[in-house]
Amino acid sequence: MTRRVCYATLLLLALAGTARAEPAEPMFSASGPEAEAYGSGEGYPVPPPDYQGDRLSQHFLVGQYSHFDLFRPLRTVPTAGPPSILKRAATEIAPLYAYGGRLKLITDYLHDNPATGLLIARGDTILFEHYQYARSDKDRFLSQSMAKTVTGLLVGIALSEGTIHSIDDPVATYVPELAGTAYGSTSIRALLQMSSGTDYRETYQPNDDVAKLTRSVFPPDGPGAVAAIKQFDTRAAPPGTRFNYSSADTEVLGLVVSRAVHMPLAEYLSTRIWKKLGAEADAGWLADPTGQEVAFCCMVARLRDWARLGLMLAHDGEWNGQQIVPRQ
Amino acid sequence: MILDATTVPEDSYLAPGKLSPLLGYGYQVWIAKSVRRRFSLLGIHGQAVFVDPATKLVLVHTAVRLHPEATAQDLELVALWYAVLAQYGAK
Repeated sequence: MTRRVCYATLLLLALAGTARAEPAEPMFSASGPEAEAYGSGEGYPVPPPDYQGDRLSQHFLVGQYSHFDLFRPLRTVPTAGPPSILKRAATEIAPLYAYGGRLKLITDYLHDNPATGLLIARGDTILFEHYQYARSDKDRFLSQSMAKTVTGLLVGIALSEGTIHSIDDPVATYVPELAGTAYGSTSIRALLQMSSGTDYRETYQPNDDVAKLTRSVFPPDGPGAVAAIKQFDTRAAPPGTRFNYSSADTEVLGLVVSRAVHMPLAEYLSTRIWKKLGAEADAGWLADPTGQEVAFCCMVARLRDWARLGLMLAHDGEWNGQQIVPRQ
Repeated sequence: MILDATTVPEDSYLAPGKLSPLLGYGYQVWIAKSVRRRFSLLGIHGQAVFVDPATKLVLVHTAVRLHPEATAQDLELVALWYAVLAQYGAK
């Protein structure tokens, strides 16, 4: 009974919210929660490339996560042609949710949470699009590990094109430098499932294994992906038996794809997904000193282009009049 | 490929409820504990794209959370997403 009353209240309030709402045009705010601490006074600064302090301190987060190309030059992922059309709802939605013992509106969410961008779409229509911290629809936002899913999609496309012959092939078939290592004998499927079984710990504490990995691929004088991966050569479990979230597993998938298709990941992403998606802007992807894209992170794209990618996935791979990623 | 990547058998160690209380894992994608197929792209500090193929609803969230990993802020974002699905899932 209580629950039923609660939903009725939600519905009424949601309708009331709709009546007050603005058209679903992009809305921009110069502020956001703790804006001062995020560097609003200095225009949300980006640390210089040679900055020796903590690049991920609060002061730099907004700047770095929306202008990652000022940290390192990024490889361009070109788009082409007219952008695919995203319609807009006549009024933006005003969803109401229960959290922390009270009912909140989506505007409360933005008031209380450090989101730089929040976009909701359905089908081909934008229902809500807001930016905070003086970010805009021209900024390109850093993927962090959302890029892992993009790398996974590229594996799927390479399989469908036959350049990767089988999902059960071992890595060394495509990356001969890793023959004889723990990763070399691991199947692509085990990597896709974060189940390589290598001894690797991703805790986001200083000196964990992702720090070790990034030290090899981020700095301009780092040794690059293959050398980075060879650091993780101890087997802790048989492949395909134990989940262990590992950026190294994804980095190896990136090597497999670029070797199998004989082109950089940025070019493969551009020709197979980004252009077909009708992205409105080029994406960018960090490449290591050996020219290999950092497959586990570090793609940038506009908020609406992330939405286009999500909508393509919601449509089982079909978007902009074509099947971009195979459904089956 | 997308269906395989975003579906996991219930008895797999990767299934939602087994891997973690609310999330399972497909092919480089997180799978929600749900009666219908639903999944998400996730990145540290609050980056997320939630996808619900049944309703074609998508939520994109870019953020600058202070903690890299899951926090109570995730629960609030998920509460918002579930509300969007419940209130705007019908055409």
